[in-house]
Parts: sequence; C-alpha cells; structure tokens
Amino acid sequence: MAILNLNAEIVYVFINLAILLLLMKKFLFGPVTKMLDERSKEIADTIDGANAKMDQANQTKQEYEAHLQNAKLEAQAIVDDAKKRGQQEYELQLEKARADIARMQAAAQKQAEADRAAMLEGARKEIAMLALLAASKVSQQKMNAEADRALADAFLAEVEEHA
Amino acid sequence: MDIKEELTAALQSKTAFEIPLFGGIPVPESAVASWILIALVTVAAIWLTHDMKKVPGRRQMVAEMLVGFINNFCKDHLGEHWRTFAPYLGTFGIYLVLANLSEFIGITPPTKDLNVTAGLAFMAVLLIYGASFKIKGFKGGLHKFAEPSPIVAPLNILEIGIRPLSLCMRLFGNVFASFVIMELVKIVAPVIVPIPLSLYFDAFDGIIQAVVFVFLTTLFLGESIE
Repeated sequence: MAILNLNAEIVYVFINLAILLLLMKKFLFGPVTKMLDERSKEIADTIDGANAKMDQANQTKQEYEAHLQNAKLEAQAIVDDAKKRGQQEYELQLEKARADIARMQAAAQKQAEADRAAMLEGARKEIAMLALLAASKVSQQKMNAEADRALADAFLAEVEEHA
Repeated sequence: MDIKEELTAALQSKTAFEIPLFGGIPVPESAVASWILIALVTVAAIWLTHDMKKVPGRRQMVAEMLVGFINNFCKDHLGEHWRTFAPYLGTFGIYLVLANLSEFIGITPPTKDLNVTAGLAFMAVLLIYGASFKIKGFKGGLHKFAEPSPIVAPLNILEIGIRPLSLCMRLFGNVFASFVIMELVKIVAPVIVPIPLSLYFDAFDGIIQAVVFVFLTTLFLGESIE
C-alpha cells in the first residue's frame, strides 16, 4: 500500500511477461513470420522459375534460328546443285543434238553427192549410147542434104524424147 | 484537504485480492490488469492469425502488417539477429501500448505501478546483456565493456544499473504524472474537459512512452550484439 512500491510483487511482472511472450510467439509472431517467409520464398521461387523459363525460351529460339539458317543454306545448296546439273544436262543434250545434226547433214550431203555421181554416170552412159546409136544410123544411111537434116532432126527429137 | 485525500487514494497501488495460501499471497491490481490485457491480446492474436492463407484476408493483413512492422524495425536495427529478438521487442511494445492505453477501457494502467515498470526495465536489461553474452560468447560479452576504449569500462559497468533505472523511471514518471494530472482534472471538471486532455496524456503520451521504451531497448540491444 504505497505509491512507490518496489517489492516482491515484481515477480508477478516477470511471470506475466514470460507468459505473454510465449503466447505472442505461439499465436502471433511465429505463424505470421512463417507465413511471410513462405510467401517471400514462393515469390522468389516464382521469379526464379520465370527467369529460367525465359532463358530456356531464348535458348530454344536461338537454336531454332540456327536451324532455320542451316535449312536455308541447305536449300540454297540444293537449288544451286539442281541448277548446275540442269545446265550440264542441257549442254550435254545440246551437244548431242548438234552432233546429230552434223552427222545427218554429212550423211545427206554424201547421199546427194552419191546421187549426183550416179546421175552423171547414167547421163554419160546414155550420151555414149546415143552417140553410138547416132553413129550406127549414120553408117546405115547415105547422107544427103535432105537426109542430113531429117537425120539431125530425128536425132534431136530422139534426144529430146530421151531428155 | 478533500482533494489531497482523494488523490492519494487514487494513486495507491492497491492489492486486488489475496490468494489464501501460506497465510495469504497478495495479488496486486496491476497483475490483475495485466492478466486481463494478456487475455485480450491473446484472443485478438488467435482471432487475427487463425486460418491463415497464402493470399491474405483482411484479418491476416492486419496481423501481417503489425508483425511485418516489428520485424522490419528489428531488421533495421539488429541486422541478421532480428529473427531471435523480434518477438521479445514486439511483446514489450504490444504490452506497453495496451498497458498505457488501458485507462480507456476503465482499467488502471499497470504501468502506474512502479513494480511493473521496474520489472519491464529489468527484463529489458536482462535481454540486452543476455543477448550480448549469448551471441558474443563469455569473453566477447566481457570485452564489450571495454569498448570503444578500456578507459570507459567503469561507465559501461555503471550503465548496467543506469539503463534499467532510466527506462523504468521514464516510463513510470510519464504514466504516473499523466495519471495524476487526469485525476486532478477529473476532480475539478468531471465531464467533457477530460476528453481532449485524456487523448493527449493517456493516448499520445502512452504510445510515445511505449515507443521510446522499445526503441531504446532495441538501440541498446543492437549496440550490445553488433
């Protein structure tokens, strides 16, 4: 019973505070701090996960780009190859065709020459025959002016007939 | 003469009742008030933190704000050891704020009892030096008394007594004085007038003193374990 009392009753304060501390630890600071920690951990995990996914996506993108580049180069190579081969084939065919034409031309020329030779030969034979014929006619008939003209005419007619 | 007697009566630290054991153990009023406050704050804490979820509701937000505030305060001043001390300092803070404001729910503030402020100060100093020896080790804790220079060692030793005394007396003086003033005001003008004055002397000063007590304890603690 005093205004400034400092006595053994201070023990109540120690006990009360200890009890309050335990209760607060158990019901307020413990669970709430745990929850806050869990939440910040979850947020950190989520951000880390997102970053990892982003990195992976970037890597995949780069891979795809590299693949695409390769594919483009390959396609270009194939097209070039095909063009080259086509050109080669074309030139080969052209060469063949030229050779054929040349061969055919040569054959035709040869044929023509042979024909001409044969014709000349025939003509020569015929002229010779005619000459012989004419000679025999001349030898059989006595020739006078009239007869000469008739003979020549007949000969010419014969020639014309033959021609 | 009438006023003096009334005031003296109001200022007495009364015994609420006696436990009829060993010839009667007296239970002071302040202890009963503390029990009521402890019960209230425990019920409130359970209500705020039951059924906690990752996505907080409004109740949980309040609890998280309170605990987050205390945790951050301790992180700022104690660094890596905040986890150990946040509950202690938080408990001091909660108890002091409620004790200083208990006038509003018609309970005589327990902090008007010198035993209570002395006990609080003693526990705060126990925490400060206990933490120092626990974290620094026995040698490190002793070495703390010779910092920053061995010349100041006597002062550091004196501080063991000065710190709790100042904490205790500051708190007791403020609460006691505001209690005296409010009693006088109530005797002179029992209606209307005490309301704004009570807001200042009980609410504002009470909260300030609670903050000062916890803040000083945290500073001393931070100094002792750094």
